[in-house]
Amino acid sequence: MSAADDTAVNPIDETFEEELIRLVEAAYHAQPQTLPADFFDVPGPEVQSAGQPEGVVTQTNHGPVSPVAVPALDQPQHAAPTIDNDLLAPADLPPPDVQPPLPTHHNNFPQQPVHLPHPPHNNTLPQQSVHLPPPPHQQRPAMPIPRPLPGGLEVYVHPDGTLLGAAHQRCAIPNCDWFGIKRNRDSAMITNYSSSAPPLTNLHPARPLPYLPPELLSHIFTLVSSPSTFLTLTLVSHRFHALASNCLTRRRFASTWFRTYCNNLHTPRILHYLARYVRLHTILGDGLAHCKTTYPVSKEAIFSRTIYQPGRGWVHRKTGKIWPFNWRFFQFPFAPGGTGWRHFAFAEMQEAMEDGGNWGGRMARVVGEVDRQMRRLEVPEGGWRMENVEGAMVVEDCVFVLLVRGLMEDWMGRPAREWGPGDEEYWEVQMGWLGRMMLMRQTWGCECRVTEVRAEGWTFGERDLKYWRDGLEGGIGDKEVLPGPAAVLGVDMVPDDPEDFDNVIWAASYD
Amino acid sequence: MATPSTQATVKLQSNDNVVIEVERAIAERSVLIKNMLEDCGEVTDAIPISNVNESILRKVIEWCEHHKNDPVAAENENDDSRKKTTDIDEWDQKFMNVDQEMLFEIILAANFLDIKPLLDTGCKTVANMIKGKSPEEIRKLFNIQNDFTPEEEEQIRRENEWAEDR
Repeated sequence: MSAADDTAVNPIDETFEEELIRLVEAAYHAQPQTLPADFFDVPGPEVQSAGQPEGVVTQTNHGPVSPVAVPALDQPQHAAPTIDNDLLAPADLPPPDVQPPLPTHHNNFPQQPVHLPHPPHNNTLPQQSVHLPPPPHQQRPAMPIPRPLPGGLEVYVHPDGTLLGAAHQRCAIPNCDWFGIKRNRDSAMITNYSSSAPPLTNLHPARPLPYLPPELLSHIFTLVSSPSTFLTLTLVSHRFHALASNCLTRRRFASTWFRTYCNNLHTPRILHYLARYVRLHTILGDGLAHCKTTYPVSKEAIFSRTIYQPGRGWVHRKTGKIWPFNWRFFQFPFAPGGTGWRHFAFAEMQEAMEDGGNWGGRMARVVGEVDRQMRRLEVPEGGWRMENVEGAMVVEDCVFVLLVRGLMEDWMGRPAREWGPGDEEYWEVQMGWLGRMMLMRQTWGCECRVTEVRAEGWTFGERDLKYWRDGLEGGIGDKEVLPGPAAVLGVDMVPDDPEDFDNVIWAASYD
Repeated sequence: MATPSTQATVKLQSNDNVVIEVERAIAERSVLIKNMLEDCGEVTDAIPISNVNESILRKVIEWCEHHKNDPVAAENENDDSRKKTTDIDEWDQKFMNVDQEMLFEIILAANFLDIKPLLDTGCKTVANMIKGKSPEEIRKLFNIQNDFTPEEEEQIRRENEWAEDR
């Protein structure tokens, strides 16, 4: 039957419709009352099935029948149930003779349903959502929300669509520090998560961890010892997820972690510089863009004859075959890709990355996250520089540093912790690992200032991984595929023997 | 501003109306009390500590007595604090070896009284309890209800995919 036919047979009585909505809402939100005995005698849609007890309304809305229990006057009053009704499947509605259960919010915080204006009716029964409590097994406790942190103007959007924010920003609920808004089709529920609300005592007499104030919980999160544990916290509960996803918590965690672990005792301090360097340059736009430094990049080859001597520092030798660094990447400064910022950052790791363990792919993925974050952040006044980009570092940077350290441990066959204090010097003298970064930090200096995020160009991500995998899988046909200018992490690979150039497909030709 | 007081002891009143007299130097480990005493000068009445009961207050005072000679923490957090997250003094470890309820009450009291080193010690203890545990183990440890739907859990796992070892 078409909608038109349906309308012809059962003309909609708008008075009836409005009365029905009013009664159902009134019953569930404020004043329990019974339906008038003759209420269903009015002509219109079928609303009462034979055998149903009084007080049960059946909405016929061209869809599944949903029995709605209306409490009688002699039933005790309940607070307005405000569990989000997205979870409420018709089949799971409580049976008609079941008294609506009490809402099980664990904090008894005031709940204030706010109804948005109805959409204009177009002569069909409304898609009216009714605030009903779901059955107990589907009820979720209200999500406690962190207090606004200083300067925290961001509105957090929970995965279920709930908007969270500070009360003073978005609404004016007395004594409300934090609120959540859950929008439904035609209504929005505002939940007050004020910490001044009465504390919960009946469910958790021992005041368990999740009911510590958010600022203390956040402080605990910043003190966990590893990024993996920090990320695990996001999977514990909604509240933990909201707190551990807050950018300020993540920044504080990173700040504490770098001070504690990236200090030459556990991890070489140079990795902190490398992490900042990578974060700053991801938004240069062109993945191969050059770093603005005092070092003459055209003389890249000279670098391979620069060594570190204890007591003398960095020494440049004009002659002699001294290859303290990963030489095969530096003897061809004319190779495609040249000496972009990625080259400075990653060239010395390339050989180790080839040895398996998918280090390159994992690093590209993490750097891709950093890249995306930087593109979302507002550029500070004066632009991003090495000095201020540290403030944007979060958990991802810690993971990046651990990956680099893991790669080096893997490559050198010994755990970093065996090196002990002074391991940075060990690297400089023995292996030259990250020597280029050390030169950048101590001598050349990175002078890049990024005043606008350039969306164009080439960023990290799947494309890096594609080139990386192709390179690992041995090429196409009888020709070796080597990541070219668009290689993973942007580092060139060249064959050991220059004559092999003819047998190489540069990955740049993919485009 | 009030003139500096020379009183040797101060009285603290817990929220269950027990008055405890302590040395002023010990009480002043609490920045809240220290500022109050500086502002008010001589205080003869008991200072109400409205958020802390007697047993927790005595525990906090015990910590303050033990640490009364510790140097005041530097304001600048950028100082080398390599021991910040993992290392807890042996005495503090024993001090914090209490049930969860008391541990959290100590943290709350330290926060209220503004005793940062005690707050850090309590929070480090909890952070160390979390270390290396799975989400389920953390829930079990702290009696937390899993309020995620399977879909939400899956979504969060996808959010964290970048950090996986693969």
